[in-house]
Amino acid sequence: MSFEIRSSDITALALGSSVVGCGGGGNSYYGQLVAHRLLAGDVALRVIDVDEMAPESFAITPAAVGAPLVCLEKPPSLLALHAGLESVRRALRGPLSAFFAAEIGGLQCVFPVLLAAEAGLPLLDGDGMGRAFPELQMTTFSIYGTTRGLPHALSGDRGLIPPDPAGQDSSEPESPDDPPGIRFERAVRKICTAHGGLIYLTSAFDQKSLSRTLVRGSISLALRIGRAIESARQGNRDPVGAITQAADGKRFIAGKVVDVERQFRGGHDWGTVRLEGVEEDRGQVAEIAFKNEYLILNLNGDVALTVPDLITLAETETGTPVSTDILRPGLRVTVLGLPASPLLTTPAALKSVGPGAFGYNVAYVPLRQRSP
Amino acid sequence: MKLVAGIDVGGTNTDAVLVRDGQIVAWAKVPTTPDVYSGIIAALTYLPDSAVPRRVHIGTTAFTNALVERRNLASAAAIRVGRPVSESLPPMTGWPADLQGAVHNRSYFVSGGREYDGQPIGALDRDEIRNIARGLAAAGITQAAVTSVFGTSYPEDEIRVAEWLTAEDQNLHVSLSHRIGRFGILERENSTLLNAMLQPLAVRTLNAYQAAVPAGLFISQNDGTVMNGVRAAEVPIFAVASGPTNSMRGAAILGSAREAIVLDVGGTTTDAGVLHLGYPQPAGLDLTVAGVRTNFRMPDVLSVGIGGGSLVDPADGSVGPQSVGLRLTEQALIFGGDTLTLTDVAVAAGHIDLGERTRVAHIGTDVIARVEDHLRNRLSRLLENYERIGRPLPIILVGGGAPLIESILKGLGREVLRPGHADVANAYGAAIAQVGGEADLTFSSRTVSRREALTRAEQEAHWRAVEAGASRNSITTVELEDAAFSYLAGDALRVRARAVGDVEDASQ
Repeated sequence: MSFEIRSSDITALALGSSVVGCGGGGNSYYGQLVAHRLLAGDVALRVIDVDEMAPESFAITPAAVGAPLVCLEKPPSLLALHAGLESVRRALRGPLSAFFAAEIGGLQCVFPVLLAAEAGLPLLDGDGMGRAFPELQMTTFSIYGTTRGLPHALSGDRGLIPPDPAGQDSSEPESPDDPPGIRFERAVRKICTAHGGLIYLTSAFDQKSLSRTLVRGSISLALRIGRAIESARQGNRDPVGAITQAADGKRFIAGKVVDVERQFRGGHDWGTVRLEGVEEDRGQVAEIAFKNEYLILNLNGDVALTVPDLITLAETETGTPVSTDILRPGLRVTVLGLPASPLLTTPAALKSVGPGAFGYNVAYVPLRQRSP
Repeated sequence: MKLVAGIDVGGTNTDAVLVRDGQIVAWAKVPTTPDVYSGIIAALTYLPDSAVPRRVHIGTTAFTNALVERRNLASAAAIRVGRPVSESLPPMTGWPADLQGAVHNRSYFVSGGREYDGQPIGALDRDEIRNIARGLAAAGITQAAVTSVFGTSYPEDEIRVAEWLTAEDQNLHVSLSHRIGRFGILERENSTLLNAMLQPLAVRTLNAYQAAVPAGLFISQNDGTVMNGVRAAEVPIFAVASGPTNSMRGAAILGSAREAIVLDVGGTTTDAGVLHLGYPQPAGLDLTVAGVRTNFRMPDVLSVGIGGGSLVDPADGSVGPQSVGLRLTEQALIFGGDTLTLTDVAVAAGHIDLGERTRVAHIGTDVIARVEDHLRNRLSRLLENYERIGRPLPIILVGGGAPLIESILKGLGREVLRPGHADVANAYGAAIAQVGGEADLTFSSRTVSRREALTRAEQEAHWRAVEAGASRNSITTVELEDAAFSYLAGDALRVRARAVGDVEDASQ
């Protein structure tokens, strides 16, 4: 099951991870540049399945928490990543055997690649979302619960951020209606705001927890999508068609952005983007609601797809993923749907990542069960 | 009545127009010369002697060419303010090796910079800056580009560093990122560094232009406005890619349309763009200049391979993308050549009268029908990219190849405007340009209200327009938008404003 990635795969990985990032997860361009710089030459990184981890060992995931736009002024901080890693590694009660991404989408998948390459350890082929979501409790680790008392650390540009007692081990919901992990999310978000709007959360998980909760195969999927886009571009073939083929996705509409409405609410970027179809989709209209990531797709007035399935936009001509922060009228994009991991579509998961978790009173109907 | 001359220095021709109150009173077209500016003089000498323009607006490719050809570039120092933030991405990351090799740029990380909410990342250190200035003086480097973390929102640190640098070394010219680029540190720094590398060339070029023109000198920017010579010598990077913008602005005014699609039909391609409020819609993703990623404004132009010299396949009626280009007058059938071009088909169809019509008498109506079918298809797809359903925009047709597709567009039921002087739309666009200013700022809404943030961005844009040469009482805001930061509970606000105004003649 294991395979290798090299620095020449970074662009494809970043491209693919932005596709599954569903418009969020942070612009991956800076992460890509850093990875290219640090992984220059012949570094080969082994990517393994979680079942290949030693049973009593641990894997560490470094993640950025904060505003994607802040990342545009503050590129990935190696100092913060290293500080977080050292702290968590010291607290481990067993061997460290791998790194992985808590969120495959966007910028996030670059961090574990960097640390794994430095440590000479493998990368797990999986993540905690299979996409990107705006909040920490939206991972499969929070949804399904992991071994208690696993170490984590927060760090910033100047190193470790001292732990906040209120934020410790707060996976219990505040009220029965709250999804698990929401208290931790709120505590971390507060610290993030006070520390320049971008911090790093490094966490360790044990193999047993991961084998139960990890969304498997997300690194391979991102790579497959990225490579498909690259080879379509080189061969002058339709890059968007290459995405749907590589990811078993569905093309909904190719159009142009005619309107973007944004509202800033509760620390997130909420909004709606409206599209009108062009060429073979002429006469169709689409409306997509987003909260950092694309959430609900309306096609000609009917709900066509919702979270947790992946709604993603790609520039029609180039296949370049279009994130919510760069939406503007005139962009020519194709709307695609990709199926969510089965781990995200259980009743328990839908409580955390279904349409209702984002305030939408819409039933989740899986992509595969929708009529063509 | 004030006379303004507009000059467009293109790859083939240098066009000049003389404009009074928006009307073209004279025009000239001469071949572009390798040194560019003798072509400008030549074009100006074709204009009537009696008419001495108050101002000359020049659209120039000198700076684009220097970057693309990696010639006449100065070595510069990139000074990044905000250590340790952003150290993972040193200056010039991702630049093409040949551009890096063409200059001896240096990179420095210094203490200072701000967080999104204005908190200092670190303190500025005067000794640190002084040492850099001394090192640069010793190395003979006369250009510095200063980029501070969150510098677009909090420019104070960049300004302070520039003061300290020039206090130590008066010969050092300093480009500041908040004056040039937008939000996004690497692209802004790239733009600033490219600007610094162009600055000595800009001073030489502008001096030569100023010597060539007997009037106030203004240079076209890529956003459809002009800047005065003083400012152009400071920020030559804004002159890059101004050609398509000039053409679209010229078309907008000549065609009297603020919302329209502009098709500029040349020898090899047709360039399409859309006007919104009379200005070209800006381009979106991945803007690169000479292989370097930048983030200043550029027009959204789509090119399709349809032009006067496009090769035609008589079997299926397909047109382009191959073209005989400049050799049309040798290779086209109507000029005695043996290549079937779109111009030949247009002559055979009777759309234009050019060359020897008898030479295309053998082209049958079936071939003409196939070609026109093909063009109808491609042009209607091209137009769809810019239009909303049920709300077609008028089409302004400019460029030498305009007659080639006019009847086809009309056949599609489209409103087609073909204004007079459409073949000098570029130079006219330069002549009628206003002066603009732009600001892209980030605020923490804990300290600044949304209304205040918008006001401050607007004021900054107005101030920059004045600095670029606009008269204070003519300035209007053409763009004012806010985009909230996502993932932050701390409510940050990013605001962008753009303002334009009439050129202040007294400012010369």
